Amino acid sequence: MADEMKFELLEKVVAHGQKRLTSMFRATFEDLEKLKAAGLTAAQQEDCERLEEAYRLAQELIETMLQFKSAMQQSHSAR
Amino acid sequence: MCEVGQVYYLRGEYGKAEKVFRGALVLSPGNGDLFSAIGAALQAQGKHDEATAMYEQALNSCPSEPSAKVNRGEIFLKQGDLEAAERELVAAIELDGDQTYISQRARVLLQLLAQMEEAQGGAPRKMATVKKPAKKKPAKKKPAKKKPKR
Repeated sequence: MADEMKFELLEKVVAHGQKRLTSMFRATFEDLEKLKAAGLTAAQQEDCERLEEAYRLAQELIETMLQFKSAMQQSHSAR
Repeated sequence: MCEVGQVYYLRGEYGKAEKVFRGALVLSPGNGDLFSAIGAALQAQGKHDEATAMYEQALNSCPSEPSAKVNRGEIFLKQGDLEAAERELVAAIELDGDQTYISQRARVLLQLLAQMEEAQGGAPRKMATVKKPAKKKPAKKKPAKKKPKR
């Protein structure tokens, strides 16, 4: 891959990565809500709840990491 | 998803790690590694009976999984069932082929087990020996057939 292209992609990741993740999580939660409303068996309902919880924790972890990153950036620029 | 669980586990947030691994298991039902990971998260929370049940499931879906064996051995050790612990730890080393940190951990636990036996004042029991994995013999080269000279 050409260097120019790499930088373009990197800029995209930095600029839009967080938004993409947020929208991915939102879409997943919306899908799970739709599923839960669709009359599932007790076992399927439990699976849905487990997935929801796992995705919520994944989102929480990513948010923690992003907060950590911005705190690092702030302390770096304050020097 | 597994990586997220591992990060929580490494951060010492075992309850969260367990929940993430359980979610991953919904996505990959019957995955032996995930049963083992859930077992480890449960064990770290002190839920030994639930952890043992998970290791059982891990070994049912993948009988040659050494980490489930070594973890189950550790639980037996904590519960004072030294014979069962020894059996599991020796089996873990054999399954691992003495290749990774799993065998190292099993050996450390076996040493601890020997110390516990000594401390109990019992005559030192002969420890089970670890069978070395059979080395594969290099395939013999067939001698090239000589063409008969005419």
